[in-house]
Amino acid sequence: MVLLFQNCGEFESADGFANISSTDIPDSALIGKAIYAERCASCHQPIESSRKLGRSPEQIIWGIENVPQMAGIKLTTFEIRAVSEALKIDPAICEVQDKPGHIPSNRMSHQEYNRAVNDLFQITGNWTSGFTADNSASFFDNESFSKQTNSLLTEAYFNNSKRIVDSLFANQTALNRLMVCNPNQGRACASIIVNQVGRLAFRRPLDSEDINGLLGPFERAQALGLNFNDSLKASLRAILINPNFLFKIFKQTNQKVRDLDQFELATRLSFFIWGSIPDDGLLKRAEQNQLLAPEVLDQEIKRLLASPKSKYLVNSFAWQWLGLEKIYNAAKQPDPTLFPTYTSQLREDMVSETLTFFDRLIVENKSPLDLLLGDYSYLNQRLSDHYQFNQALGSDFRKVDIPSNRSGILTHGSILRMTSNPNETSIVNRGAWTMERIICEEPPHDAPDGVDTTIPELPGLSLRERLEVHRNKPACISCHSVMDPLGFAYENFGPIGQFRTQWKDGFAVDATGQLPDGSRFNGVHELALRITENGVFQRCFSKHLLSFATTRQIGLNDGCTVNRIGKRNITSESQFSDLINAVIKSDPFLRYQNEEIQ
Amino acid sequence: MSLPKWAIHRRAFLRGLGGTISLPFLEAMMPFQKLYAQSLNLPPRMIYLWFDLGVYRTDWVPTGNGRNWTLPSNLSPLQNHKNEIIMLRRVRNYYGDSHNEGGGDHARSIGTFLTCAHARYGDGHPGPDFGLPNPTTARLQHQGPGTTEGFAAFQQQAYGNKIAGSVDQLAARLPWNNSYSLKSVQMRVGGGGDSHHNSINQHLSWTNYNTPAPRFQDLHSLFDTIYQRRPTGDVVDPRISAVDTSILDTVGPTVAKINRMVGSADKMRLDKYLSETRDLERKISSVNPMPTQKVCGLTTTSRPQSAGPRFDDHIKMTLQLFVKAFQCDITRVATHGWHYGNFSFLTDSAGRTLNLEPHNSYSHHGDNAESRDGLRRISQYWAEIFAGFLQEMKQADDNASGSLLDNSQILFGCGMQDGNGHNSDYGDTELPIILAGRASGKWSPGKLVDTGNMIRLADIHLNMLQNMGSTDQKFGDSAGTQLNL
Repeated sequence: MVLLFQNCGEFESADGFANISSTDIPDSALIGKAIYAERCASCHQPIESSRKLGRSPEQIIWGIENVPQMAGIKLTTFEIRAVSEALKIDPAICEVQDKPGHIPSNRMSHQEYNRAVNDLFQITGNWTSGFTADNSASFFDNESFSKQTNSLLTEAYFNNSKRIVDSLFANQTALNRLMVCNPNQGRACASIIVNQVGRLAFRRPLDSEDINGLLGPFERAQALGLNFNDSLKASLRAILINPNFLFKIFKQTNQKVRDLDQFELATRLSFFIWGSIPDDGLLKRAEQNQLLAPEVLDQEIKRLLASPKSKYLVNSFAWQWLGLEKIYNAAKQPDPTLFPTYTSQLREDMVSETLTFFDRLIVENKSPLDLLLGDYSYLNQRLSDHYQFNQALGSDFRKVDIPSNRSGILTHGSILRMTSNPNETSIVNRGAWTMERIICEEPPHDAPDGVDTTIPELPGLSLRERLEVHRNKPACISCHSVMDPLGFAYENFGPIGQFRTQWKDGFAVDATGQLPDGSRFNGVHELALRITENGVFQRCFSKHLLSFATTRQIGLNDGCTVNRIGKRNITSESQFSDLINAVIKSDPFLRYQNEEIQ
Repeated sequence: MSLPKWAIHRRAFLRGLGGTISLPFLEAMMPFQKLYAQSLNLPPRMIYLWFDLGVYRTDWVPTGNGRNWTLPSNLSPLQNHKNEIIMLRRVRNYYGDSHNEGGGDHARSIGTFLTCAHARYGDGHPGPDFGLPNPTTARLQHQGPGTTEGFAAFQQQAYGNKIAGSVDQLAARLPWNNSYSLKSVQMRVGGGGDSHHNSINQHLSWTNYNTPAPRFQDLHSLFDTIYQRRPTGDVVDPRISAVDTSILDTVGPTVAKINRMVGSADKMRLDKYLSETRDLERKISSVNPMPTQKVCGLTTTSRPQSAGPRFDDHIKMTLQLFVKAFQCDITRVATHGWHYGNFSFLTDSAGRTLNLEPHNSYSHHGDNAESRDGLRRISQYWAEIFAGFLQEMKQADDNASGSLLDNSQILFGCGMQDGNGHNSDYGDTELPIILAGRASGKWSPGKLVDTGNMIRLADIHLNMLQNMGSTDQKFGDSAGTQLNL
């Protein structure tokens, strides 16, 4: 394999795994592997051939509690999590496997479709009328496995193609751009236009078979006596419903694993950063067979990031990663009589704070660690007053320093608000959100049958003490022992994000807690420090970004890649573009794996 | 037609759906149409209305039996419709139980409701994996604590094969539906909260064991899809359909070309798209509307403007669109899920606040009086909305062959009985299920059915499926019990 990319001063081959060092494997997985060998392997086979690969801590605990042969096994919570870690990231996988992961040929997401149509004709509009809801198996709407068509969607593609071309022909500027030849030339001119639009739509040059096929409707319309424009519309509609436009298609050869070709790579790049089709420049690079040259690829990544279209990373990746839509959750809003200052305007300010933070992080190329540890934020007067920061800012959002009790995005009003119940914080919601989004642990399912999930009324005890009585019930502890401490870390901030030192019950807020590995924290800033010191956040954030970039769920085989990307590219010295580069230059992004291999 | 309890909050419609226009000459053709419809042997409408989180059981259980029965206090809004509904005691959905899989009742209560197959939650998209593991989508870390290899064997033993689809989708595949382009319509309102078991808790309707049926979540898309199919009485310019056909014709050769270079699963996806365009082509070339269709009151002005954030407005507007779709005979199968779990601050038609906290914190009431009342109020409001729907269906004429309600079979209910502990694994459980309509004469409503024995939800589904013309003798865990409905 040709050596392609320079990264952190060392060379990596594109097939990756050969050069992974043991430092890419989390310590806890190594510990877990040792525990497994000692305590589990006698019944469950060596870890490499274990049928328990992928088991979660929850499942292991269930086994210990319910399987008679496992009775008597005593493991601490940390040890159980370590074993689970080893079962998820088998260290052996890193050294021997070449499995970049299969991504099926899939239709665009609705968001991608809309952006692609608009970019194709340089128009703006909403073209998703009549679409059935997009399904997704990950946090991200571009998740490929679920992107199939159905009869209603196909019909809407067809109907909307008419709306799109009608609107295009009613827009003189867009029409002038389109009409690059003289309609009097008839088919010859139509052929030029179809070739030009088709190349962008299909993300590759058209061959004569493509062009002749697409001109079929033009010819039919001409034969029926329709004028040039109406005939051309028919062929443009044929482009818009063509699978080469609607689907991202991956060729399957007899190679089990191969590098993406130039055009597949151009498409994957532009859909990752722009959520849309490649532009002429990117396509040219692919046509010139240059895109895989390291300096050209670097240049193109830089160019794509610099384009205003890269706001997609903010509005789509960051939005979905954090689940910001939850702040609008229909009627899950605070009671206006209890929270008169929480207006829809303030809610917009909160959302703007988070989006601006992420936008500046990309534009100014800061360290992704700032997401959790940044000692600054972007506020306008209204939001600053709401946080009681006592500073003059004006109506525009400006960068300001924040007090030491706040920490990166975790203490943004948006996050604190959307993870709360209407009128009070929710320790469970905040804990579960942190698990899913920040440290990539599966939060538990809802309570099992018959478990009373109400928090007891116990006079004289603080909320925290009452919750502890509740969760110390055997049925609850395995889930809540991880979730609750994470949620408590945020308790210094009320349901609309204001700092507080006292609970409603009069007790002083207790925001201390302990992570499964035993490390302790008091408040959300210390939590942020702990999960960046042990690399958990770095791994998690890389995982989410890789999932978004590759349009698939990140699974067992990706553990080493995710860990390596996070460890090497999310440090206090690194820049956001390092991370983007590392994701793009990873095997899961650059290579195709046949569908038959599991 | 305007009913106080149906009042939609705010000015949600530009113009009400009530403003119907019908062309007199087509009305005059109706006896012929009716005759024609009978000769086609068209089935009743099949409607499933599902709500989440269960009810406050004590106030939801009817008393008496047969024709001599009393509505429970929580269902007082249905008093005027008592003769149009059938209540049933001791309904169970065996596969909605956890079968030692631990938590996840909420999710299961959705995915199992119309399938009566065990849904293993969280195996990732797209399937709940009804029956067998799906290695390509399995998210092992999502499997419940009790999901073991032994369990898969249990499932196979107990159930046999993979399911062919949910009951509504099986009905939609029956031959009479060939001439309908909208085979069925699925709409979901609400939900999408913090949940992470992402497949079975999002889908009531399933095309097969691992593919959810397409569904709408957005009123505009729902409206546009129904509206597209309205009979207009316009004569279509044959040149337009010829050009449209030639556009669709370009897909075939393209798919053939792509299929030569992609893997087999990808081929299936592309073939699926191709066959969908072929169906569309057939639809375009058969310009005649359904014989029973008449020009009906669907106009662009009845497009919902915006329902605002109100959960109940979305439900009511969806139901009104359903009524329109039935009146125009655009579809005969409809499923509507009300996913209320994370919502709060609902006021009923009289302006009374129903809940301050999310519904979920009421349904897990722990016998706390305040939460119990909250749950009761919400259940009562659902009954009120259901009553409003029945009223509209009753007032809608169905091509002079009775009302829409006469020619419908409606199932309204939930996959969990008790919102508090769920107790789906307990023998005394009974699901809240109400049937309504006459199923074109196959049901005789106005009664309480209590056989003293458990009634399987699957037997109810099977009955409804057979009423749609199916000859199936088995559905899910059905026991073939003849239900006197």
